[in-house]
Amino acid sequence: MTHPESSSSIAHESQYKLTERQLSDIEAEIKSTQPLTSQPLPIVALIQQYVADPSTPAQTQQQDSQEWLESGFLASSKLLSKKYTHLRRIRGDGNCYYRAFLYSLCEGLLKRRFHVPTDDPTDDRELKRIRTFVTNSLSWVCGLGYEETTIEMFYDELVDLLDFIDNLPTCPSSPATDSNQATRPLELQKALDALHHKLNEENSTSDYCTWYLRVLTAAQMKSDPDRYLPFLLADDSSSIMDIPTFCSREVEPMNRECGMVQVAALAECFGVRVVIEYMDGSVVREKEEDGSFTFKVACHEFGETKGEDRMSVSLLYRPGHYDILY
Amino acid sequence: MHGNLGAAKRLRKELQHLEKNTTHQDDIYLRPTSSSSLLHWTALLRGPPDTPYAGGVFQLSIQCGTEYPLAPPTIAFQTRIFHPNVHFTTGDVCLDILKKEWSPAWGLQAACRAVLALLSDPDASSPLNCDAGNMIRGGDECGYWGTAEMYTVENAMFIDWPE
Repeated sequence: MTHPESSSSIAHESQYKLTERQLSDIEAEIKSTQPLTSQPLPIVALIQQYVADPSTPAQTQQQDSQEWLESGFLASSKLLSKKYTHLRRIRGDGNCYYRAFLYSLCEGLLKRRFHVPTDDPTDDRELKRIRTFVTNSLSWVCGLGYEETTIEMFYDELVDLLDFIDNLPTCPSSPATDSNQATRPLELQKALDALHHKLNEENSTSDYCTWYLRVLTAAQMKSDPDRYLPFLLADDSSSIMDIPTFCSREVEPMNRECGMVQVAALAECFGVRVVIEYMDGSVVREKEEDGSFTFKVACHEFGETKGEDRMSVSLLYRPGHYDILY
Repeated sequence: MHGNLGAAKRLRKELQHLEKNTTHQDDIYLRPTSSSSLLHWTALLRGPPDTPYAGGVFQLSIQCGTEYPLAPPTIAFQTRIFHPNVHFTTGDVCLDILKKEWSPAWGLQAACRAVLALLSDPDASSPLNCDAGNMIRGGDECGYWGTAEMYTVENAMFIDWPE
């Protein structure tokens, strides 16, 4: 082809390749440096992130605003350290909300199975309720237009994960009735380690279940448009005005970050409570009954906020990212 | 699901589904390239009617990584084609559902269907073939149509549709 713009078209085409390569390099870097889910860290690790590093020399005019911003984050992290003891980091690949929800929910269900006294039936009630919901979900999502052939293996993976949690032994294999109480914490730690290992395998359980949570989120939105459409209309930055388009662009693709509406839809479809601490550099001042002021980090609850026996998931939000709080 | 098993399991399912549902009238023919690997597929597309690709049969090469279906397959034209969203020499396809809008809910057949839809409805605003893109954007429909048709006749008339 000879065309006056041929040389510029070559530049355009190689630019496209270059951008693509850059994006995939960033993805590879994140993958090689961050585990899917970290070990729990003492909450002081959060504070340390915002304490100025004395080895960094002072420079640039931007520093004032930078410092102000950091002090807001520092103040928030100190406030959170009074309310929580640990933090678990989630890989920053755009799936963090779904992945954090999955991990925290599974861990919570597993811990409940170890509660003393063990014969308390409420300890297993949530696991049964959630298993029933998940088991019945395949026909629900297929009824909303998803194809069974493409969805099934992701569904199977979540069902298997819940079975895995249900089948982990809560007692040592040779029960000596008296020593049961003493060995319980050890057995719990073993079970938690097994779950952690399972949820940290690459291209495996965590990713497959995470995507199925996206499908459930989308299905929840499609099943109740009156509830979820107002979220889309309220968001000025989004030009998408119908739920199916929104789901195919913002919910179903992997690595797509999630906004308020996805957070609410996933919490509501599982019927669990999701508590999110919003750390955005500012703190909220609240007036107490005695007239004094206290400061706190903005906190919002989603999903089932009434039922006391429902599972609860606590997350930390920082712009563009979610981690788990304990 | 462990490591590479997911891709193999899913692709086996897709193949079973295709073998059950393929007819001679289809505009897409899709099979693994060889019996030794399920990760590499070949597709044939019939050029859609009322486009400069009508009458042609276009061959695509489809490569799935072990992260398929979480990650999209890589699709490239093996038959030369003049189209704003297909690279003229490498055959790379620029299509959002094969990149950032890919979802595991799609399969290989759905991906081929999207490529077919792209032939009917080129997007001149993000061209990989700028010559084709510029013709459409500049309003030179005749130039685009004539050139694309010429390449169809020269390159896409040699493959017989499989029985």
